[in-house]
Amino acid sequence: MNEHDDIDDIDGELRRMFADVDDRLDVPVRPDASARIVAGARRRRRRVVVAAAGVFVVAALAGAGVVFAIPERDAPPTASSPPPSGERPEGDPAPGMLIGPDGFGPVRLGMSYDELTATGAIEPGDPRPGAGPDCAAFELAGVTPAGRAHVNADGVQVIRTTEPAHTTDGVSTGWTLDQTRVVYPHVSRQAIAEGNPVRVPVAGNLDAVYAITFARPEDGFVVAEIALQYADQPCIPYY
Amino acid sequence: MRREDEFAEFVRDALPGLLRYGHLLTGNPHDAADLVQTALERVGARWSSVVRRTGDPVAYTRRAMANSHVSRWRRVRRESLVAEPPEVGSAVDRDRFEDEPLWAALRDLPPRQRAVVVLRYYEDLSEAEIADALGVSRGTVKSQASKAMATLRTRLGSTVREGGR
Repeated sequence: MNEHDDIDDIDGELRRMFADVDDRLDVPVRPDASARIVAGARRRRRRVVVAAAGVFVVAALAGAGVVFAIPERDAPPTASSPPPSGERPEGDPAPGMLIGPDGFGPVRLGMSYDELTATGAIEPGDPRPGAGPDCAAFELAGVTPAGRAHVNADGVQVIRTTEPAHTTDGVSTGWTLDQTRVVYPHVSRQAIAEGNPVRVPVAGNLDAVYAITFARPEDGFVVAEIALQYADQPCIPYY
Repeated sequence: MRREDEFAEFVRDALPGLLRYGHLLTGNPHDAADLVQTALERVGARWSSVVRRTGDPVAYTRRAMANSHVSRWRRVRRESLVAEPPEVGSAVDRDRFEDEPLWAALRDLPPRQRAVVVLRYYEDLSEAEIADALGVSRGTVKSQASKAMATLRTRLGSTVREGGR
């Protein structure tokens, strides 16, 4: 890129700034930040194992015709696909806790910091979010499966979990992309580069959407995280 | 040493540097923390494989962060073609760089252009390495770099002119 004449004057400025920014870029973290990350990685590892087991169960059910019409991995939905009703087969309960249409266990969208604290889902010592649109993220535990709540002065804006959970339409963590597309047909492979959530509507709550993140273990995309959030939440710009 | 202990030691050692890098990529410390946590949890979930395959988990994590950050931006742009860039309206740390016009101009770039600049000047990656890290073509890297530099040059020129009045 150095052959571009128009960057020559900026080149030196950038090099000087980047050589001298490290101290100012420091991000203060909680004392237990490393431990939390290690614990999060452990949960993800377990989830991948659960997801793999889920795929096996689905494959077994396919033999009974329950999900037989689900297209091959990464193939586009076909006319023979089941209608996107999202109904689960009778006797096949969705794994984990329901997330949505307006909350996750006792944690509800719009709940104030004080109300959130009162549920016992976060530690009382966690610093409260400031005034205005700025958001703070809190680890959820205890009364819900592990997750995070993003909160600002208007209350809880986003609730996320990577633990076993399912949407109001029955889509669960561990589901493959193709299974998910039967319920939410607009979810395309192109839209879910790893770590890249996609929005889908929440049945029963017009103010909210789900942001579903897929991970890619060895052999295909699976639902890794489900977030319930206000459609206009300001906390995570890319959700 | 157990694998999880190894990963814990890696996190303790690498976290400050990764957070600084995330701060550069995202333009604010809050998104940086989120980006780093997500990337490290993914790396930790497959720690043995990352170490075995890459031999350099820090470099792998940094590139995963850049790719994830840019991918998120691509999706937002696809779904909201006329929306403001995702940084606008997010929480930003204005204090430490308040008087740094180049930082402000860099922060206002679209994430993919900013990532290209950060990878080039902070990471010192080649054009081919940037293309590989972001999963785009070398032509895209070149065009994004050119646009970024043109924007930075224009904005810094405006700042100088305004300051000189």
